[in-house]
Amino acid sequence: MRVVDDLFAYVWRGRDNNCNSYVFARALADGKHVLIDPGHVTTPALGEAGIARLAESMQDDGLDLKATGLVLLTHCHPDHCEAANSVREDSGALVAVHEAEVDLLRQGGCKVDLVLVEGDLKLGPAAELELRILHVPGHSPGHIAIYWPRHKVLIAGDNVFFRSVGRVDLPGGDVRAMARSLRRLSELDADYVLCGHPYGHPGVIEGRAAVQENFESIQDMMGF
Amino acid sequence: MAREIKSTLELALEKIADLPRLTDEELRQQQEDEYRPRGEALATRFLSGEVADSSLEAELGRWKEGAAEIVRRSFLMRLCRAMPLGDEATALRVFTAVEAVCGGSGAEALARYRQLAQSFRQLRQRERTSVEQAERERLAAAGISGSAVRVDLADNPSWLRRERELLRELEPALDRLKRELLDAVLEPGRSGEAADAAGGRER
Repeated sequence: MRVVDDLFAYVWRGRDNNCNSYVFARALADGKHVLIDPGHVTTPALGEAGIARLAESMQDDGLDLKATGLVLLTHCHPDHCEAANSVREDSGALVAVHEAEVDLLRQGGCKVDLVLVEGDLKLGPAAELELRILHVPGHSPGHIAIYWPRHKVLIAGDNVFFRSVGRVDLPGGDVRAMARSLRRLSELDADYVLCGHPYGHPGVIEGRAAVQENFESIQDMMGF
Repeated sequence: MAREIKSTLELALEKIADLPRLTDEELRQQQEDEYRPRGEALATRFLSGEVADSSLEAELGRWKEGAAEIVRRSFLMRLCRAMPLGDEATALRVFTAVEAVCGGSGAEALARYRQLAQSFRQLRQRERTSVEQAERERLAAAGISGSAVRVDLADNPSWLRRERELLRELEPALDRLKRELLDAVLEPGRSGEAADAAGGRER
């Protein structure tokens, strides 16, 4: 599903837990893609194909998973990052994660090529696609969100869901940090919020009004 | 004819009396074989931090006379053999122990070691900067740039190879220093053993 321009959303449609994935198609030199959160290789409870299903969905849009040049991880929980190493090995893609979760990712057996910190991420041979990497801890210590100012797109990972937020009771979770991060994200000028999971909704929230309503609903719930 | 009845003890003593006596050299070797592993084990425990700096004197003081000298020597030999260029924390542990055990007897070699380690650090940093720059250029050519991106070299094959090459280049100088340090801290006449130890040969 094309969200805007060459940004595609791949909403997880299985029964088991897995993340939504997003692709900036042909954003890099040689037409390579940027993949955000490849998810599970195979889901742990029901054994559903994760990365293979993503490859098929991408193929439907004329995109080859093996033409991935960069994998950005919003955070290092297995339902978001487990397939990163296999994508890296199959495509030669670089894997990038926030500096606070580099060790965690390595402990899980994945190689890390790039370390992300808060700042600008420019993609394309002429750096024409400008993104903003935001460090938004709470769900995990090195959680990032990716903001695309040109089209007012916020890729929120597991911080923001449809009328809900990510868990803070997992190791490294921090409810106060989550509240700060949510406040910060809610202040962005966003027409799209792309969530880390399709909980009760595909997780692709479109339109300024819908985005604002979602943040207000979360604000009421969290009290930030 | 009456047959002499012997006790078990008498029989055992007779058997022992028939055994050839160990020479002084064999006795010395036997003692060496018994206590050398204890000194080496102490060095390993010290380097891992299991034995604190403050406990070192007491640990070495547990042994008497000849045993104490063997433990001390094998402890120092293992330490010097473990002295790396690229691991400052371990090197510092070695310095601490050598100074604690030998006073200032290895001071000159230690000073030179520090110079060598500093050279390594400078060379390593220069090479690291160079590899990082090359990686940044490669990334920019691939279409990835910006202030949010930092190159991580821990899994980078080019950097890992270059770091290994650097260590190999400085290895002969490090081995010479280890030999000098051992010659300084061990008593005269042990330099052959010191050379063995510095070269990493197990006896």
